[in-house]
Amino acid sequence: MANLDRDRHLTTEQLSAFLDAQLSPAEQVEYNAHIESCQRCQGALASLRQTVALLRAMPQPAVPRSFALPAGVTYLQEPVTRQGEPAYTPARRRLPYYMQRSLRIMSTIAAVIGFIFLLSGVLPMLIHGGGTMTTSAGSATAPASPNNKAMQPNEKATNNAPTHTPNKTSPSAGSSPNGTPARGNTPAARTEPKKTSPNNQPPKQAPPAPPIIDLSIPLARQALGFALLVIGIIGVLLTRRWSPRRM
Amino acid sequence: MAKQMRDDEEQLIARSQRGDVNAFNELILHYQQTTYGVVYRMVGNADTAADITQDAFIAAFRAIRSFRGGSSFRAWLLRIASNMACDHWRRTQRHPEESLDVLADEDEPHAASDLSSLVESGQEANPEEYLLSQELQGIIQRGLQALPLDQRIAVVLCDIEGLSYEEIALTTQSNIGTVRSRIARGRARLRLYLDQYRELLPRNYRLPTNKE
Repeated sequence: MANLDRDRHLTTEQLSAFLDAQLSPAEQVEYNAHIESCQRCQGALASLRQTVALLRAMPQPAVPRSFALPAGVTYLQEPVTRQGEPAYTPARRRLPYYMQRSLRIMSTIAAVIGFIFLLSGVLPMLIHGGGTMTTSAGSATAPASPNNKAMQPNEKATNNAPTHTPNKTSPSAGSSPNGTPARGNTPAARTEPKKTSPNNQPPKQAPPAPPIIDLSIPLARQALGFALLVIGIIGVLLTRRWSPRRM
Repeated sequence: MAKQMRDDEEQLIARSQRGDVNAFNELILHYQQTTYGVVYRMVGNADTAADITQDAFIAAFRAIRSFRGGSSFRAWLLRIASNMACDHWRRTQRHPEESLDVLADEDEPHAASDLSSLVESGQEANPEEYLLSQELQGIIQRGLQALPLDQRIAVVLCDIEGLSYEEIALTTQSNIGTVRSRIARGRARLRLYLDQYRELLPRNYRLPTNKE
């Protein structure tokens, strides 16, 4: 570390450590030599030393009372924890009970909805997989999205007259974004198009312009369902951890 | 003699770990000045500091079985106390309405009860100097409170309580290099802050470089 030139100055950290003699003897000597020859570092050291002197001159505040613990009280002593770390935990501000409760309910609902979404993506595959159309199960889910886009204009054209053609455009009259599944026992199909769409139809109908997430795409639906499920489970777990102390 | 004290302390700690409140109270008696002093400099209010100190001693007694012998008991104690002081500080910063009265006190050094408690010693000679000193103490205290918490605790432990870098590292659970840089940055910041009050600094502090 013998690279202190005339034009290089000591940093505040070096000066501060020098002041406290927290350097190696060699550094101490070297820095001292530099300071003696450097006006600027002398000034910086002087003002630093002045600051420290002011702090050292601060009086000890008088202890307002004795902090001895009353002997009659029993203090629960904690068992030995890891590594001498005091088991002090900052007082966590707990949510009021009703908020916890509604949070938990909302989380549960989110988890259930997520689960339903997930199921709605999986069930059609299972049903068709069990039947004759093992291949169409795969093709029903995957290429649905390009099909949807192709259908859009067609959809709008026929929108005014909801024809009951079993093939493509039937459920669009309801204008519900999740009109797709419509496969009997799929819970996601609980909306109104149930009555218009025939039961055993491949999910190729395109809904009219879905708002944000295209629920007719099974993949998106499953992703949303998964996200909701995860959020719901996290919410339930979080609220459950606090609740026993409250109740 | 120092060894004698160490042995005494170890015995007291061992007895405290078996639940002996009286033994722990002897430790409290020995360390309450330092602990209260550190907490006071951290939060700047006498009542708050007293509450935090009391809580820290209770927490320390409850957790004392996790203290390993051989390391510094003072550092362990100060760690609990300074953690609680930092915690309190963060809490009141987040909810400033709770600390409004503290701020009001700060703005008026003469009426401040927590400043008057500072003065009970030493400078009885000259009332004018006494007043200046009190004012200056308030300024320095506010300067400390303007520091970030990690720098504040390092500067308080080093320059006010006179702990070694090693013990500060133990207290704050950091390494020597970190301690060194926190102390330096805290001092530099305080120096800038105190520069605004240059004319208030007493003559003998103006240029203390010559002999020391």
